[in-house]
Amino acid sequence: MLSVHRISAGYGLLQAVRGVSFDLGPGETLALVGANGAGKTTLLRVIAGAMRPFSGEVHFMGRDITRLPAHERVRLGIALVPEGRRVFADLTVADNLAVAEGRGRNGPWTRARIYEAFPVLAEKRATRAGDLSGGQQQALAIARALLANPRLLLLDEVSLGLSPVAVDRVYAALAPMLGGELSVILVEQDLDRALSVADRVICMLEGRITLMGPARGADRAELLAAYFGTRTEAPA
Amino acid sequence: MILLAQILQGAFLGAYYALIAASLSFLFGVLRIINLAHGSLIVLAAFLLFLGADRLGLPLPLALPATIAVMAALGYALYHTVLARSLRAGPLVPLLATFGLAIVLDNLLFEGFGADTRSLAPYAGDLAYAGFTLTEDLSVGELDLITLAAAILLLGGLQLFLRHTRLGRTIRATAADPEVVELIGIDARRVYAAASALAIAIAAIGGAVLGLRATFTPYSGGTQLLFAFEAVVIGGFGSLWGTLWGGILLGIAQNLGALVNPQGFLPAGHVFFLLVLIARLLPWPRLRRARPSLA
Repeated sequence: MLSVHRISAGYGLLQAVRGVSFDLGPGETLALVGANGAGKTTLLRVIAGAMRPFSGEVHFMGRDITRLPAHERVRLGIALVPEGRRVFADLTVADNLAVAEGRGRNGPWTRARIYEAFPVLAEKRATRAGDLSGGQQQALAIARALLANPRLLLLDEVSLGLSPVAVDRVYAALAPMLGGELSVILVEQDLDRALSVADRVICMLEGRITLMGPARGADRAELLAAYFGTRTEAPA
Repeated sequence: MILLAQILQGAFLGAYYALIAASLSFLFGVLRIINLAHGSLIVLAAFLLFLGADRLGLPLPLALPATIAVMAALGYALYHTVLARSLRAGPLVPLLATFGLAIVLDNLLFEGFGADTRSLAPYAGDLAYAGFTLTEDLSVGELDLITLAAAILLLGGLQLFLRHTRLGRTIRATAADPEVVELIGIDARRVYAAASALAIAIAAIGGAVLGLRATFTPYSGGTQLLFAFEAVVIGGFGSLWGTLWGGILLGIAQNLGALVNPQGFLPAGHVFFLLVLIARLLPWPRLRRARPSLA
C-alpha cells in the first residue's frame, strides 16, 4: 500500500536520506532502526508530507503523493505522531482532541472511543496538555493521530524521554492496534522493543538502508553491525 | 476630584486604545506578524465609513457592517498576496512588507480623499458630545461608554471565540504549531487566511471609533499604530485581556501626565510604555515571562 522509491531528502546542504526505497503492505508493522542522524525521522517526515524530498517518489494506495501537502495525506489515511510529541501545550486535552477530530477519514476512532482506549486522557480531559506527564503527552499525541482513522500510522520515537514504566504503558496502549489492518512504521531506539513488535525491520545508517529483513529471528550481531556500520569478520 | 476625573477620562481613552490594539494583538498572536500597516488599515476603515456616510448617505449603523465585510475581504486577500509570501521569507520581511503597505495605503487615501481633515461625528447625531453628569465636575460621555463597552465586548468575545469554537481552537493550535496542525489534517494556510480576515475586520471597528472620537486625515495611521503598539506591549504581546489593560493603563498614564503639565500627555504615555518595556526585558528571576500565546 505504501511504496517509497529512491527517496533523497534533507535540509539545505545536509542530505539526511540518500536514495531509500522500500514497500509496506497492509497490516504490516515495520520497525525503522538506526543511530542518531541515520535519516529515520527525515524519512517519516517525507512520507507524512511534512517535507518535500529532493528526489524520488512516494506512492500510497496506488497514487503518487510525492507533491501532496501533509493535510491532504491525512485525508488519505496517513498520520504521523511526531518526535517530541508536540501536543498543543496551551490547549486542554479535550481541545487537543477536538481540533484533530473529523479531519481525516471516517472510521471507528472518535473522541468517545479514544477516552475508552486511553482512560488517563478521559480523566485529564480538562487539564492543559502542557501540564501532563511525558507519558500522558505521548498518549495524547498518539490519540490525536488515531482520530484521523489512519491506514498508515507513523510513530517517531514514541518512547523518547519517557520512564521505562511510561514506555510500557505507551506500548500496551499500542498493542491492540499492531497486527490489525493498520500499517505501522515505527522509529525506535530500543532495538529489542522494536524487534518484538515489528514484522519487518529496516536498519538505516547515514541515510542509506544497511539491512532489511523479517524482525522475527533477526540476527542480532548482524543487525548491530548494520546499526553502527561495523563489519566484523565472521570467526573462522 | 479632578484627579478622579482625569483617571476616568484616561480609562475611557484607554478603552479606545485597546479597541484599536485588538487587531494588532490578535494578528501577532496567530501569525507572529507585527503589522506595521495596522494604523493605516484603521484609517482606511474610517475613510470607508466616511465614504458610506457622506457620499452614499448611508446611516452609520448600516455603513459599519458593510465596512467590516470589505475589511474582512481585504484581510483575506492581504494574507494570500502579501503576508503569506513575506512570512516564507523570514521573520523580518513581514515588517518590511507591512511597512511598505502602510506607505501605499496612506498615499492611495491621499490620492482619493485629499489632505482634508475628516470626522464621522457629523453623521452620528449628538453621540460625540452627549453624556451624563455624575457630579458637579464629573461627567461621562455617551461615546466613551460605548467605546469601553465595545472594547470589553470585542476582546472578551475574541477570547470566548478562541476558547469555545472549533475555528477558534483550530486558530490557537495553528498559532502554537503550524506544522503539527498540517499533520492532523488541517490546511494551515486556510486558518491563517481566516485569522487575517478576522483581524482586519476588527480594525474596521477601531476605524469607526477613531472617526467618531476624533478627526483623521490620510496620514493619521502612524499615530494610531503607535498607540496600539504601546497598548499591546504594556499588556503583553499576544494576550487579549492584557491588551485591554494595556490600553487603559496607557490612557490613564497620558491623562495623568497632562494633569502635571499640559504638554505632558504624550511624553507620559511614552515614558510609561518604556518603563513597562524595560521591566519586561529585565531578567526578573521569579516572574514568569510573558509568553506569546492566545490561551
